[in-house]
Amino acid sequence: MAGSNHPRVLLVEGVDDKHVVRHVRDHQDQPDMPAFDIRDKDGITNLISAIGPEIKAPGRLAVGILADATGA
Amino acid sequence: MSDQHDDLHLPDLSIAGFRGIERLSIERLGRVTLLTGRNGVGKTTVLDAVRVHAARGRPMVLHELLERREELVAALDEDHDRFFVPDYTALFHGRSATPGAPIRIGPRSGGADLEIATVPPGDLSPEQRELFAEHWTEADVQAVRIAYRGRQHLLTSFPAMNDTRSANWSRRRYWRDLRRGWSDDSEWPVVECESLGPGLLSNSRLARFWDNVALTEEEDLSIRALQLIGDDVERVAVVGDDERRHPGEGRRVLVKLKDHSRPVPLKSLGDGVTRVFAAGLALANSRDGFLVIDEAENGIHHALQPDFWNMVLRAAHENNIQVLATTHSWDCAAGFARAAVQVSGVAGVLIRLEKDGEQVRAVEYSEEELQAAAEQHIEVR
Repeated sequence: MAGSNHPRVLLVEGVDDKHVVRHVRDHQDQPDMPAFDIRDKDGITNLISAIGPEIKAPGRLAVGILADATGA
Repeated sequence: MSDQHDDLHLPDLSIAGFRGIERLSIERLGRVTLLTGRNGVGKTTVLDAVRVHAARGRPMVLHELLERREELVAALDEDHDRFFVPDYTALFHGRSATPGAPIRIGPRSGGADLEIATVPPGDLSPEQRELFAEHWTEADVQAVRIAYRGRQHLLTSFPAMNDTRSANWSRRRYWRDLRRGWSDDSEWPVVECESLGPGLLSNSRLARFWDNVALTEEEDLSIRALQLIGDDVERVAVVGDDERRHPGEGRRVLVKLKDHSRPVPLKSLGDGVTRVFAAGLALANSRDGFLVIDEAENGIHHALQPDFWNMVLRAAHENNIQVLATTHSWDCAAGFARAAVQVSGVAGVLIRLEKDGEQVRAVEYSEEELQAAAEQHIEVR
């Protein structure tokens, strides 16, 4: 079963990144900020391989990437 | 094993003016191509376009496509009985069969385009004019020109008419026109194209497929297909004769199962078993040609999808078949992705068709992208 198909997604490396970003996002007082889905990719390798298909997903408007510059 | 992309019958595809597709360009087709996309976006139209191109526009194939979609108009034959003939205008985008807006199907590089166009009645051959001249005015007559590699043939078509002028239309002549022409024209060699629709194959078609491969190496392919579902299938036979005096008569496929003394009808084993067997048989019948499969997921359990596509990819490679299929199913797409990665050297390509305003565009996935999408459950349909 394919996962949810939100038009805007942010790809992050791991579960810690996801929690941090979600916390920050949910405490922003910016009503105009569009909703987006945060996707924990379980490592930089998976994140990189997901970039192509995430961009090509049907109805996709935006893909953001949060990666640690010093990560493996 | 390794495929050369240039060896494919159609390494890429361009379609213009055909049914719901005003213009579509697919940059790369695979040895096996799986098409996804929403309802009505044009997946089946792409399969139809490939069939028409493979047949070089032969009228029997156009007739079959139009008949399947009930795109027929009533005419009267020489005995004033109604019969139905294809409405060729339904082949054209927006049903706008105007000269200067032809259908074009072929590789993107051009040079092997099939062109179907309406032409003014004045372009009819003297023989074709003679068919109509006594009873119809030129305004009633529509001609369709089919051109391929610099050669052309004309078909006559006509709008719906239920008045007595149609009575001059000979049913016999109609069917003769349908079959004649370039059927034996060596300059227009067809590429054979078998098709599997969303439903089950009729017993007669299963039997015809079986007759073509019985006692050959290809027969094994259909047996192996059955054994994907269960290894208790030992043998297959087709029994009965062509006459159907009563319901249930006619030729049918029987299967011998392990631990069963008597054979059982194939169709008694369920739609999925029949569907997989039909796919194996269709592959066995498609050497050096095309096979198109509409709604490939039908009847096949999700756990079997990778094995099914593994079989299709290997058979397509070994028998020089180019396969195009459609699906709406995630399990089918994910199974295809896993098989495409497993069977190295055989190009498995997934393409999603999607609307872009009034146009249709193709989004192609490489095998690496497919694998990542399948593993990470990223939507591809």
